[in-house]
Amino acid sequence: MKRTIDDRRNYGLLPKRNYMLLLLALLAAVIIVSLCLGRYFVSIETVVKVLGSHLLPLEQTWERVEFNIVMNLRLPRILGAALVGSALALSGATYQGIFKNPLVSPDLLGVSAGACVGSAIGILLHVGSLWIQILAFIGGIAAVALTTGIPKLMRRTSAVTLVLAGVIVGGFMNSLIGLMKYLADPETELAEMTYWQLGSLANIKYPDLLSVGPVIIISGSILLAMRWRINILSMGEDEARILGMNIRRERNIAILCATLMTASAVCISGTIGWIGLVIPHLARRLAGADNRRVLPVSCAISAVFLIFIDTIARTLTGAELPLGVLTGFIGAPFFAWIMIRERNDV
Amino acid sequence: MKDVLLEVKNASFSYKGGRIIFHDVNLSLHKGEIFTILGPNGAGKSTLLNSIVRLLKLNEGEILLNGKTITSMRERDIAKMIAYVSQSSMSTFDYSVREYIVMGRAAHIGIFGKPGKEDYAIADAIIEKMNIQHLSQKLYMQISGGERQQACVARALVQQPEIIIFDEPTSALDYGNQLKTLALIRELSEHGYGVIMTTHNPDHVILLGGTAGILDRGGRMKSGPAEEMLDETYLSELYRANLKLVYVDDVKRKACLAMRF
Repeated sequence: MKRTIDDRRNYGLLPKRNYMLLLLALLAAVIIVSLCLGRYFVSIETVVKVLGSHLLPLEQTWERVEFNIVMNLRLPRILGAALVGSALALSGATYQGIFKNPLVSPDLLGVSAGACVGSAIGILLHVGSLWIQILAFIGGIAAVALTTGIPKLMRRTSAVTLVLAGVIVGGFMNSLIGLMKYLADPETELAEMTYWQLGSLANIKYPDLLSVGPVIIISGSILLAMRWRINILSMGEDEARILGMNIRRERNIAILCATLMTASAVCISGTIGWIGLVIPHLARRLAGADNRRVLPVSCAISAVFLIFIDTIARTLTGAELPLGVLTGFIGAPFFAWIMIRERNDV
Repeated sequence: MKDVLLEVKNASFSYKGGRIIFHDVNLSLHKGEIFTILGPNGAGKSTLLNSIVRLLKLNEGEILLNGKTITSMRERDIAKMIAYVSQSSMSTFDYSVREYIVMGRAAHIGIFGKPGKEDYAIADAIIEKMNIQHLSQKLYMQISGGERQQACVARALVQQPEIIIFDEPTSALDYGNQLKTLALIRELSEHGYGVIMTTHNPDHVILLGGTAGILDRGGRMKSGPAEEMLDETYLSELYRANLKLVYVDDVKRKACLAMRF
């Protein structure tokens, strides 16, 4: 079937149907290649066999160390990257939709910084990882409540005021983090906090995936199920209400899920910038504006993107490169490019 | 008397701590009736419409939809009764016109639902009826103001309401499109929809007939059959202008005309 200009406009660069199959195949390929790469190279054949051995009774042709590297070192980290990437992009796309503002993201709304404050408090109080997760979530919710509350107090709800409010809240949260770092024990707590603030996937192990995975998957599924409603919410509060939506309830559910996802991601990876902002824009270029396409596409390409970046982070040099540095180096110019293209391409 | 769809009883509204916008407003709307609200800028026409769809809460009085008070209704049940065509419906994101129109199904679809084949069939049928197939795949924000209003009306019809409210549907349109919109509103009423619209042009009231309500600067509303409500001296006072109502033989109707300055 020939693609018309209308198709290009409404469905983006991806095909009208079966685009998710395409993206999931890409994701699988990226995961397998990433499993091969590292200081110790493992061949694709071995990787596939090691993975396959969990499903089929394969004859062991690999060395124990290869199995260990693939299954216990690289796989949890790669799955973590996929989980964190999906969580950030999905919550970014959701925030952009419900605040009808393509300039917001978990970091720009201050949610990531808020979650970081929550987990820093947890570290200072020496509570367990479950409580760190809960505190991160409370911090995130507090941040998003503040950020959305400020424009209401100003009685001005333009796209720019929301972004400014996010800058204010993010700045405040970062000061709180600074204060807590100052108070922290430099031997133990400080290192942990700095790690959190810089963002890294290096220490992700299976237990981490088990603790945040279910939260991310459940919240993500709820958001994906609501994705047509997010289209309507993006038309503005009054219109959504006139169209028959219980706007407060549906919007709160969406904010809650998006914030839970961001906070959960922060819990295992710290704050990783740019993804929540850039990926939904890229998804809209690839798939059109309809959130029924944008949300799942954001999820998939964000997982691919973060695995790709993290693979660079751990393989480019002998020492590990900080992830936040790389996402900034790639994300910022990429965002500039997208913005320029969006201007020219209407 | 035909079935009463909507009743507004002794409605008053003022913003918190602000002046009273309107008070003691009464109106009723029947099946197939056109109710046109006239009034100067700032008289509270849009505010009244917004209270009818519960975007704003009345300070006093009540609004009944099919005899049920609106304050106890769920959003989706109100939306199944009333659709609203606002002055300017803007979108931040580039949805296609067809997607925009199918959003009218929101009240009929649950929170985790998506429009299915049937919903698209309803939308497509109305797109065809309104003869706007050529817009269907265009982007909503890239079509003209007149086309956007047609899309907005289509979305209202897709909602399958009994009442359609138009807030100054003609204000952003050229003369030809204004008349087209009035003809469309007349047609809707003939199909049984109750229509409430606001306008700045007394001529529109004459063209549409039906019932007219005039909201004056003091926030009071008088209403009655259109012919009876339009009175030369009253209109001149209302708009603080020198207006004449004259019968023009060529068009076989009265017209509201302004004196030369």
